[in-house]
Amino acid sequence: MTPLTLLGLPWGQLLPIAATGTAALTLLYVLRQRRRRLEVPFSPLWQKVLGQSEAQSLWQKLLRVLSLLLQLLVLALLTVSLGDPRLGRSTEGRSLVLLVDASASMQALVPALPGKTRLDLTRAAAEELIRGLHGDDLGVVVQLDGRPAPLGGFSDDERELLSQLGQVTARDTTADLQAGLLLAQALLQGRPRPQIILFSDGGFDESALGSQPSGVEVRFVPLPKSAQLRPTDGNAAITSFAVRRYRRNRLSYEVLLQLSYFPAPGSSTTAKQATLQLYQEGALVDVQKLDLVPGEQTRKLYPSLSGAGTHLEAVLSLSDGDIDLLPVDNHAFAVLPERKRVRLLLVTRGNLFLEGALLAASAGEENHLLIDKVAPTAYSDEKAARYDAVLFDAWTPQQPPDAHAIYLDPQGDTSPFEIAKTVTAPYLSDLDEQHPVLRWVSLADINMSRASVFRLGSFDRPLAQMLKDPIVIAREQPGPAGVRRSVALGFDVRQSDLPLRVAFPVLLMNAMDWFAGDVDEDLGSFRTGQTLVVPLRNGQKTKAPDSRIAQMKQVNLLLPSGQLTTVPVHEGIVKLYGEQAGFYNLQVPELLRGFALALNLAAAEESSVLVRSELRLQKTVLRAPDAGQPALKRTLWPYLLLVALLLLLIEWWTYHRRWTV
Amino acid sequence: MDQTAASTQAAQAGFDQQFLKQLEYLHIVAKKVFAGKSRAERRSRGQGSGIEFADHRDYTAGDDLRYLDWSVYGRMDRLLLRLFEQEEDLHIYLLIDRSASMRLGGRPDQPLLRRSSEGRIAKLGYAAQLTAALAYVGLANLDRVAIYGLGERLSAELPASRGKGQIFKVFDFLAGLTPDGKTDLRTAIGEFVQRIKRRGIAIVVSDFYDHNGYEEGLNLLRYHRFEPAAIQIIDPVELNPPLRGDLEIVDMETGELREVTLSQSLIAAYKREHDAYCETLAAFCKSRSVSYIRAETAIPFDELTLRVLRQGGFIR
Repeated sequence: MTPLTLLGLPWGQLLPIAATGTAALTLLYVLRQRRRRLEVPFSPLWQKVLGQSEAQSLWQKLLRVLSLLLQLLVLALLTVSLGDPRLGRSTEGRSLVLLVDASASMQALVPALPGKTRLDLTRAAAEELIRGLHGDDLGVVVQLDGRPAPLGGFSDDERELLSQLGQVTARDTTADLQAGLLLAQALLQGRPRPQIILFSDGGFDESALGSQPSGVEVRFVPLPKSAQLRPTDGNAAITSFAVRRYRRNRLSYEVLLQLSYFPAPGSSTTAKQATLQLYQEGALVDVQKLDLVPGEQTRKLYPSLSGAGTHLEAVLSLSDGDIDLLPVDNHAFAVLPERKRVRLLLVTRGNLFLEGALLAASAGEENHLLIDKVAPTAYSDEKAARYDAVLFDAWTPQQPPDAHAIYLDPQGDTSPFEIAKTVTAPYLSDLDEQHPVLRWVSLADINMSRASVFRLGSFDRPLAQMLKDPIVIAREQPGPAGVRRSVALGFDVRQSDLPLRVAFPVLLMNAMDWFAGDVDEDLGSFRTGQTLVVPLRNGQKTKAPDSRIAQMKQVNLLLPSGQLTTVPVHEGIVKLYGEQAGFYNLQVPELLRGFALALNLAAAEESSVLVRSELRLQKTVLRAPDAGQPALKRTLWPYLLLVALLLLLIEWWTYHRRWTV
Repeated sequence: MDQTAASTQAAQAGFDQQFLKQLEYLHIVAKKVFAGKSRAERRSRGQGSGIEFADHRDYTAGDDLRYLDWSVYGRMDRLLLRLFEQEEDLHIYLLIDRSASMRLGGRPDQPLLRRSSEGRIAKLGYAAQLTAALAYVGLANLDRVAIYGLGERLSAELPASRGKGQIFKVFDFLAGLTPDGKTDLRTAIGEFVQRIKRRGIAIVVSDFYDHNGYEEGLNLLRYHRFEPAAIQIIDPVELNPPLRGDLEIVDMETGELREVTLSQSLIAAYKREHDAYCETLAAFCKSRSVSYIRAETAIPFDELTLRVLRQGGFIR
C-alpha cells in the first residue's frame, strides 16, 4: 500500500490555511458571544441551583472543549479535502498504458455509422474501459502516431483519464507501433502488474508486428463489428507525389504521381473510375479521367514542369457511388524547388582533367554552374567570399575561405586538414556510400600513386579509407557565419586515374549538391511523420550575412491548418516535425523570402484502411483486456466532507441541547 | 387638600370610591389584645367605659356609684362594681420593603404605583398599594397606623395617625418611596423595635430576599411583643425568566454577576428552589404564629385585599 497522496493543494499551502483557521476558531472560542443581562432579585437561589449543576463543571468544561475540538476537527477535514487526498493503491491494481491509435487510417469513415470515424469508435471503446477500471488501477493514455507520446501522467482519476483520452487527435501520419510499445514499456517500468492495452484498427505494417515488449502484457481492443469493412468499401489514394530534377538540367523538373485503389477483402476487381485534378497555385491546370485497378498502382508523370516555388496540389476523387473511406490521402501536395545557380571559383594552376569534369557536370540546356577560374597567385579571401563554393586544386590557401570548398590534395601547415601520414599506392577499402557526396560514385578501384592520410577532426566524416586510414573526408563545421561544408581528397587527381572515370564529374556534382543542401532525389514533397531539416538560405534578391542567419533563434511557421506558430532555429537550420498533410510556409522576413514545404501522407499501410479484428505480435494473439472490478474509489474528499457535515450536525445538535455550551 | 385632588390621588393609587367603601367594612385582625391610649372600637385589657360587660370587683370608696350592680347586692348583699371592657385604639405598623429587589416588574419610565400596558407592576408598587389598602382599613377603624420603609436600615417613616382623613398622607408617603439598597431585615427591624415602644401589629410587606436571612428580623418583632405578620410579594416573572440561553445574571441588590446558560431544566430547578424558599418562609411563620400571606403581583391588589387577605384571616 502506498501512502496517502495529495493531488490538490500541497502541504505547503494547506498548513498555513489550517494554522490560520485554527487561530481564528480558537480566538472566536475564547472571545465568545457577549451575554445578555438578566436582573434577578435574589441571586443566592440561582447560586444554589447553579451550585448543583457546577458539580458537573469539570464535565461541562470538557464538553466545551469538545465543542472546540469538534470545530477544529471539521476545519482539519475541510483543509485536508482541499488537498484532494487519495488513498494509496493496493497491489491488486494494474498499471495500464492505453495506447490509442491516432494514425491517418483512424480518420477513415465508418459507412455503417454516418459521420463517425474509426477514432470516434476507438475513443468510445477506451472510454468504456476507463469507466470500468478497477478502483486500484492506474492508467495513462498514450497517443500512438508517428511520434508516440503520453497525454498526461499516470492517474486513477476517471475524469483525468477521460480528459487525456479527449486529447487524442488523429494525425496524417503512420503509427510507429514499435516506438509506442517501447514508450509504454518504459512508462510501465517498475510498476506493478503492467499491461498495455492497444486500441487500434490493426492497420500496421507486418514489420511492426515483429517484436513484443518483454515483461509487459499487451492486450488488443479492435474496432467494433460495425466498423468492419464491407465488400463495397474501398479507398482511393495518392500514394506518392514526387518532384525531381533532371541530372543534366538542374533547372528543370518532372513530377510523378502514384495512385492506388485499396479494395476491401473479398470485393470485386473491377476498375474504379476516378478523376485526377492538378492545381498549380490554386488554379486547375489538368484534369484526367483514370481507371484505378484494385490492388495495382497507377503512375502519372508530368514532365518538364517549370516554375520555381510553385505550389502543386493533386486531388483524386472516385466517381459517384463508390465509397472512398479515407479523405486525407485524396489530396497530395508538392512545391517545385527553387532554381539555384551555383557560383564556383576554381583555384588552379591549370588542370584540364578537372576543367573537363566540371564542364561535363555543368553541361545542359541551362547551365546552373557558373565557374570562374583563377591562379593561386590571384586568389584572395575577399574574392572567395563572393562565391558559393571554391575548389582548390593542389593548392592550399593561408586560411579557409568563407564558402564551401573542395580541396584536392591539400598540403602544408596552413591546410585545414591535418595530415597524419603519407602512403604510397594506396587503395580504398572502406567507402561511405550513404553519404550524399558518394551517391552513384564508385571509388573502390581507383589507383593512386600517393595519398595523404588525414587525421579526423571532430566535424569530419571519412568517406573513403584505406584500412581505417581516411583519404577522402567530408567536413561539416558550424561557425559564426553558418555551416561550412568542405570535401578533401588526399591525393592529386592528376596522379590517379580518377579523372578518367565517370565517377569524377559525378563526385564533383554531388559535392556541389551537398553544399547547396539538395541531397534528396525526391524533391518537392516529404512524408508526414518525419523530422525535416530546412537550412535557411539567402534568396536570389538579397544577400544577408550568414552570421545574421546563424543568429536567428526562431522563425514563424504557417501550418496547413492556417495556424501560425514559431519554430526554433539552430545555427541557421530549422527542424520541424510534420504531422499534418499540406503546405508549410516558413516565413523569414530577414531574408525577404519564405520557405515552402509540402507534406503528404504517402503511406500505403495507412491508405489500405486495413481492419484487423485479431492482432498478433510475434505470432502471439493479443487477448482482449480483462473487465475491471468495482472497488473503492480512492478519492477521499467527498467522504471527508460527509464526515465534516456529520460533525457539524452533531455540534449543532449538542449546542442546541446545551451540552457543549 | 381639596376633595378633587384627593380623589385624583386615590385613583392614581388604584382606589375608587366603591373599593374604599368596601375597605371601610373591614378591619385588621389582631390575635392579641393591645392596650391603647384613646378610645376606639377595639377591646382592650383595661376595663372602662365600654358597653360590653367584663367582670365584677368589690366596691371601694370613691368608685362611681352608677356601675354598682344592684341586683347582685339584692341577692348576695355584697357591693360589687360592674366592670366593662374598654374599647381602645390599635397600633398598626406597616413595614414596607423598599430595597432594590422590589424594583422588579416595574419600568423606569413608569410610576411605581401604576401597572404597565402588559399588566405588570413593580413589586414595590404592588406592596405600596397593598400597604395603602391596609392603612385605609386601619384608619377607617380609628386605629393608629404608622408606615416605615425597610432597607439596609429603617429608612423612612410616616408617624402614627388616625382617621380616614390621613389616608392622603399615606398616599404621599408611599408615592415617595423609591427602591434602593439591600435588604437587611435584622438591622432595619432592630432599629424599629428600639424606637417604637407602643406594641401593636407589625405587618412586614416584603419579598423577604434578605442575603442575611429574614428569620432574625421577624423574631425581633416577636421578642418585643409585636404581633408580626408577613406578606411576601412575588413577581411571576422571577419564577419564569423571559430569556433563555447564555445570560449574565445580575443580583439587583448586590450587583453580583454570574454567567449562566438558562435552559428549561435549570429554570425548573430554580422554580423548585424558589418554592422551597417560600415554603420555608411559610413554615417559619406558621411555627411562630406569624400570619403569612404570599401575594403575587399578577393578582389584582383589590382582589388580594378583599378576598385573599380575608380568606387568610388577615382581615375581617
